[in-house]
Amino acid sequence: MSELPLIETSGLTRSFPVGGGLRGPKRMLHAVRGVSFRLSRGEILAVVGESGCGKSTLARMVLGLLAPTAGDVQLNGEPIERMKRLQRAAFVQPVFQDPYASLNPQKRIEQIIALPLRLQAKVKRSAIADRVRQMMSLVGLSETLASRMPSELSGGQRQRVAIARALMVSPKVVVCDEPTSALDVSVQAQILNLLQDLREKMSLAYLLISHNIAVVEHLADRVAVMYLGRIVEIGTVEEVLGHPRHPYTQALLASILEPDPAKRLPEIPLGATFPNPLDPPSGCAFHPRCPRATDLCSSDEPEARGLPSRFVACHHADS
Amino acid sequence: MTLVLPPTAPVRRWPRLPRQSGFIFGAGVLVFFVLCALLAPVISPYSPYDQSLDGRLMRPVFMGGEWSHILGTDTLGRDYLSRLIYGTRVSLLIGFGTVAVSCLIGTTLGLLAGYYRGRVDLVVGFIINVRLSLPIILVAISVVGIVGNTLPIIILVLSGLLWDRFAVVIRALTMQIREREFVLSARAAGAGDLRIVVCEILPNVAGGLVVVATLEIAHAILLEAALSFLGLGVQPPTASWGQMIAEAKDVVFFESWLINIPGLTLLVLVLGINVLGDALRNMVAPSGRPL
Repeated sequence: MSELPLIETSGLTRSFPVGGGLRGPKRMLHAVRGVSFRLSRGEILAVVGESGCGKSTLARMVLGLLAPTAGDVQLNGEPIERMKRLQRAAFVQPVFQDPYASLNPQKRIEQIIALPLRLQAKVKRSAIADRVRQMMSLVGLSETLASRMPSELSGGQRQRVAIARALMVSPKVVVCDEPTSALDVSVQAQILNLLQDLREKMSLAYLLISHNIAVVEHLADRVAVMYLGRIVEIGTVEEVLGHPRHPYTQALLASILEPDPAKRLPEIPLGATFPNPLDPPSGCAFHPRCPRATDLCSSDEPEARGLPSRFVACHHADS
Repeated sequence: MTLVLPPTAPVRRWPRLPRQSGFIFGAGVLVFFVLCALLAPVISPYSPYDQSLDGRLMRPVFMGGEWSHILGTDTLGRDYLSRLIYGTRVSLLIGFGTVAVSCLIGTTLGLLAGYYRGRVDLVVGFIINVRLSLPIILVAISVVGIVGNTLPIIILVLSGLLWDRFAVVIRALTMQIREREFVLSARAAGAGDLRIVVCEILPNVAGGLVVVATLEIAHAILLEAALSFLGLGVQPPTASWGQMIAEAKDVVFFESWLINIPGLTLLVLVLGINVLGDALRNMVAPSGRPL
């Protein structure tokens, strides 16, 4: 029996109508266009890309917070829109980017952590309190913090609270939307190590949204590179980061700064501007910035080539 | 060489003081009048209804009157201080009652519009505009004139006319807060709309609610006085400040203190409540976090 993937998306698309006031017609912003991927049990799939490429929209659709315009998300083989709210919540939970915005400022820490389990109707109050204490120690929070307000905690502590809350219902998948980018560098490492530990202890799978290649390298098993709403390259960390085949991935990796200040800033062969998602380029969305672009690229959108688990969407990809 | 640190600036306390003194003044005034209203039968020297045709228009003590009637008596010989104290009841009842009901209406509409947006927002926006296009006094006069002027009716009519600020403020706050990640977390945890609105959003807009409520209490009290002055407020002989001003207007050129005393009392109460509202807004808003 082949195991069902925890998350499987096919042709996932989400557009937002923009404008359409008194002036001008409504236009569609295609935030995510035809994204397909699988996340298997215990795996960490990272999604990387520039700001505005649709990573967070993708995360929200996988969490069931945003309905896709087309395509579908299946959790353990079941379409997400047919799942009950609580069933979905027990399966996939989020950790958001900004720990200052992700905790209700008017509630105590224990109430915040308890919420997902309290909503699951069948659990007793005392059992919830036990579980809150257990989770707090698991993520390395002192029990004395339970009755504090979020404003009394540091950024790192808040993010631990957010993680504890996500784990209350023992989900199979945690969607981490830039879990460390709002934190100090020293705290980032702690949170990343915590995520790694928890993955083993609770056999979790992560969908890790990030724009930090170092974080991805440290944590992920597989990487999907997104550009303007599409996955342009996907594969294992070694494959994608070691032998990038898409010119965008290559440029992304070339743009990583070396920690050695003696080295000069990297030369990036791309123009600096990200295309306007309201008015995406014809053909391959990347062609205006691509060093290898030809006429074919501006007329035809490249198909994904290769296996579903290792593909590149480029006419001129390295083999 | 020693490193000389610049002296650290002394902690400046005075910028906070005016705000705090505003809070103390406003809260003090409000508590004083609430106590007057609650304890009216105990502290009033006379019944507010006992007439004495022999002792009409006695002047207050500070104008050479007698200590038996500290604030004098009115045109029917009723003790003015007692009527003033009983009038507090009407004013505060109308103020708090109106705000309780209008807060309920406005907050519900504001939460709905801000949370669901889209069509709901359009409908609520239309209702708000309809309400804003109605002149309050005119509508209140005609409705009270038709239906009658008992206390509950006046409270309901005023509530129906004073909820708009609640709706506007709560709608705007809700729109901000519904995009915050803790609301998304609650949704991802499987919380339903009702739970999100009541448990996640409402506590975070409560600060704004309190500020609007204080200002609207003052507004309602003034409107009641205006209605009473026009003879459409609470019915005589019930003591109400607007009523007292209305009854005194016949003798305003001879015994102007009869108007000044309830007028000044009204001024102090409304000023106190407004100052309290401002102080609360300053305490809630600049930190930003609770909103």
